[in-house]
This record gives sequence, C-alpha cells and structure tokens, in this order.
Amino acid sequence: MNSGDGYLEYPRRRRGMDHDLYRWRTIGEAPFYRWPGGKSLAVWFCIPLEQHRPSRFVPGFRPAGAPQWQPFDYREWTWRDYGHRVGIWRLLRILQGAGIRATVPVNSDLARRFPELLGDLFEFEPELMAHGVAANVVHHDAMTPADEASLIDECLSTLASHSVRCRGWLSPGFSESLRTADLLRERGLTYVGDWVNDDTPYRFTNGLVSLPGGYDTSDLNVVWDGARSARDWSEQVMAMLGFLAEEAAAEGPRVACVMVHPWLTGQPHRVDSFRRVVDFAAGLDSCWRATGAEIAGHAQAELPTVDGAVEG
Amino acid sequence: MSSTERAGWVGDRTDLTRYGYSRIDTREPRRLPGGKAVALWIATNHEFYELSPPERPSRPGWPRVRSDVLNYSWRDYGNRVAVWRLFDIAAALGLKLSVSQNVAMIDHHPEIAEECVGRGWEIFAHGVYNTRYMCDLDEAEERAVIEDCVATIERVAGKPPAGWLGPALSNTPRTLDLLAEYGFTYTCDFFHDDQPTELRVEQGRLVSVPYTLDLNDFTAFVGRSATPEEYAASLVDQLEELSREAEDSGSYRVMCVALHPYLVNQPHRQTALVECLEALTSREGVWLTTGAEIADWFLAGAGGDDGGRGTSPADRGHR
Repeated sequence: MNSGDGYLEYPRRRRGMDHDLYRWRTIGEAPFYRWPGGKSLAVWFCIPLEQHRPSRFVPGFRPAGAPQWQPFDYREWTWRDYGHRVGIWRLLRILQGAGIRATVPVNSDLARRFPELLGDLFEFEPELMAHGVAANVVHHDAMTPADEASLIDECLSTLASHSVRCRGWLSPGFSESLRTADLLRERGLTYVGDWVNDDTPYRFTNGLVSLPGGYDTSDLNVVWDGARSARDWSEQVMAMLGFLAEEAAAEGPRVACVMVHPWLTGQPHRVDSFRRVVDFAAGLDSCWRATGAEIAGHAQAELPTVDGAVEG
Repeated sequence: MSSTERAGWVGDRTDLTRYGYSRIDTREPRRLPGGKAVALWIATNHEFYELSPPERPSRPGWPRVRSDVLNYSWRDYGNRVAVWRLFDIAAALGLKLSVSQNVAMIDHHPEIAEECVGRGWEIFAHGVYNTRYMCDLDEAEERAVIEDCVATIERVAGKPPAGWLGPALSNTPRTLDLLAEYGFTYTCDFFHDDQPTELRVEQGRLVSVPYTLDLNDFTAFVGRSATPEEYAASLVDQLEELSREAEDSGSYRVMCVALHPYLVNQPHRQTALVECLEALTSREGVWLTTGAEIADWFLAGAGGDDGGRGTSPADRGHR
C-alpha cells in the first residue's frame, strides 16, 4: 500500500453496523405487537412547511426542492410561498375531512416570518415537528458541536416562543451529523424521521425512536426530482399502503409515511391524487392513521431499550 | 505488453482494447443447453455503503455532505428489510440468483450471505464496500482487495467466486488481468454485447457475461424515475425481443435482470416485480441460470470451434 492513507483499512468492519447510532437487526427480528385498536399498519401523513435562507447553501449541496438562488429571482421563492398561502390548506382540509391529523415539520424561520400561519394551523390540530431553522441549513459532520447545538436550540426556542413544543425532529435535507441524534435526545426530543431504513420503528442506542420515513414514495422524489405525474405518484403510494397492510397483518407492525409538500402536491391539479391516497388509507380497515408522535409514543412502550438507553 | 500500452488509441483511462470488432448477427449460430434460446440470469446487488468512508480524490464516497443519512439509510433498508422479501419471492418462484457481494457485508451481516448460500445462490465478488473504489489503487492494493474478496467469499460459500463486478463499477487498467490470474472466469463490467465475449488478458481466460446498466433497477428507478409497471414492462419487452432474435438467427442471447433490493423490494414495487419475474421465468425457450454457469458453458464450448468466442480473428488470439 503506497499511499499510507488508510484507504484499505477497515476499522469498522465487524458484525453489525459500521457506527454506534443503532443496532443491526433484520425486520424479521423486530418485536411483534399491535397498534391501538389491534391495527397492524400505522400511517402518518408528513407535510413539511419549509422556509429557505437565501445564502446558506453548504457548498456543493442543495437539498431537493430548494430554490436556486439568484438575485431577485422571484419565481422559485414565490412558488414555495404558494404552499404556505394556498396549498397547505387544501391538503389539511382533505385530511380533516377524512378525520386524519397531519404531522407538519416546520422550519423555525417560517414561524418567525409568518407567526400567524402557526395560529391558522392550530385549527386543524396537526402535530408540529421540529424541522431545523431552514430547509437549506443542513446539519453535517464538518460543523462544530457548538454550532450544531445552537441551530437546534434556535429552532426549538423559536417554536417554543410560539407555544409549539415538539417531540419529533426531521432534519433539513435528511442530513445529519454523527452527533445529531445525541443533541436531539439531550433536548428532550423523542423521535426522528430522517432514516428510511426500516418499515417498523426501532430504537437508537441513545433511546431515540426512529420512525420510518418515506422518501422513495415522497412527492419530492417522484414528482419533483422524478418529473412524474401526481397520478403516478398516487398509484405508487397506494401500492405501498396495500402491500404493507398485508405484510403487517401477517408479520408484525409496519409504518408507512406519506410525505407531500404543499407547494407541489398542494397545486390544484395534483390535489385529487392526494385525495385518492387519503381515501385509500381511510378505507384500510387494518390501518391506524395517526401522527408521528402518536406512533412513536406507542412504539416506544413496545421497543426494548438498548445499551443502557434512557426510557422516556 | 501492459494494459496501458495496449490502450493506445483511446488512452490509458478507457482501455477499450480488450476485445475486437464482431457483429452479432454474423457469428456462428450456437444454442444453449437443452436447445434454449435465451440465457436469463438474475443478479442481485448485496451492498454495504459506509456511513463515513475514507476518500481519495478521483471519486467522493457520497455525493452529498456528510452524514448523508438519506442515502445511507436508503441502502441500509436493503439489508434490514428488503432482501428478505426477495428471498420469499425467489422461494415462491423457485429461483436461484447470482449475488454481487460487497464482501465486507459478509462480516457485517453474515446471516444474509449464509441465507444465499443455503439457497444455492451463486455469490460473486463486488469489491469490499460500495464506498471503496478500485480507481486509484496501486497493484499491491488491488491484489489485496481481490484476495480479500476470494478469501471472504470462500469462507462463507465454501468455494471462491467465479465472477466480478467492480465496486460501484470501478476498475483499474490491470483489474481484468488480475482477475484471470486469480482464477475468476467472468466479469460483469462490460456492456458491449448480448452474448458473452472472451476478453484479452495477460494469462488464463476471462469472459464478459452480459450484465445490464440500461435495465438495471437503479437506472430505471433512480435515473429514469420509472414506475414499477414501466420497469416490469421493459424487462418483458427485453426478453421478447431477445427471444425473437434468437429464434430468427437460430442462435442465442443472454439477458440479465440486475437488481438492488433497497429499490426493487420497496413495498410499492412488489406486486409488479412478482408478476414480471413470473412472466420472465416461465417463458418458453429460457435457460434460467447463473452468471457462473453462463461463463462455464461459454468457455467449455469455445475450445474447438468458434463457439461464439469473440468470433473475429482479432478476438481469438491474445493480442
């Protein structure tokens, strides 16, 4: 080995994962339990409300859906605001009509910018989830611990100043540092939705619950990045729900996440596809339609702690 | 002559001199075992991406800033959840697959490789991790990686791997020569034909067995954002066309279905996948086989006659 840079050294090549954030197990080894009412599939509708900062892109990385920044470029920034003024209310009314509470991750910059939006949200009784300070201010390994902690504190304290206390966290751009999970846990958050590696909840070693996220079938992946129609999106989401309902009945608890963005799926021509998905979920007898915190809270009681994790 | 000297007209980094020109419809017709028209093999990629891999300049380990929780956990889904669905589907349809294996995964998740071996699946080498690339390795390093692949697969499978797919499709100009030296019979890194080709190597023999990028589930779902039904239909169309060509020519074709459980075994893709695999594997004229069996068949037949081996005079000799 010529370079001596350790490229062919594998210090974390061992049984299990290559990190200590959570333990390896297959889904077949996950505990068997049922959701409230004997249900087997839990579904959460995750509708992020995003605010981007004009100048805080990490070099080389722009999260999916983030506007390109150019001076006085109204089109993308106002398009995102469509979601806050128009789109979100369409989506929430449809869910309300089906008796389903939404889970709404909020960037704290948006709460600062439009506090009245939070007040309007309350009439639909969603669960609000902490979503960092802004959709393009991503957490990453090169940050100092103090910088990252201050971002999380800024998010939580801004939301708290509007009487919003969050149990769940969704990271901007699905990006974390290796410290994020501990920083969240230390601040009393109980679950995180960034990890798309399971169809049933599991515990991090620090006790945090990982609630299955739904990126592959999100509107961001299918409609925005994938340039597919909302109908194609809805067919895939319904196929996911149908398959997981059957698997859950036979094998154990499953969680499905339906993730949509108000500026995208909240457009008039896409809303009927969302309505079809909601109606489909509402018609599944074995399905518990709940918020992230409700599902994570139930799972928390069922999942053993690992490595001396704190109950909570 | 070294590989880089041979590379001449296209330059060191492409090395397109491992085979000559051969037009597919002018080759000597040949039939597969049992008189079959199309050899169909299913390759599943069992990969381990590291959360914090070391980096070398020519290719970053992750395309986004770290930690790329989205892409890491998406791939981890394959091992925790999705591959177990693939086992169930294969059992229901009686399929034996060929596994493209990052060998460090055998240490991380031995139960998956053991499950494959127990089902009689073929395990072939796909480097150590999918976050450690061949591109910048010197010869000693490259030998260490190949020896690691051979030893680790032999430990779990009881025999060394016959095949190779570069980790994240990475290779060096000397990879093919080393593979042949270490007793590999085939590589999956060539996309130039619908039949195998014997490649020019320094010593021994090495065959290119058709794999697929165009019909890879990654290309379809991530690159083209195909719906599950569109991907399934494209696989069926592929087999129909290859079957027609094989019948018309009295010869044969090879088709590969190249899968990643973290994508193709997502819940919303299961129904379409099962229907598609049923249709492919029950079609008349199909030899349902593995990469290693295709290479063995090809090499065995290539002795006395043309055997589809390269077929142009330039392809037959070694240089």
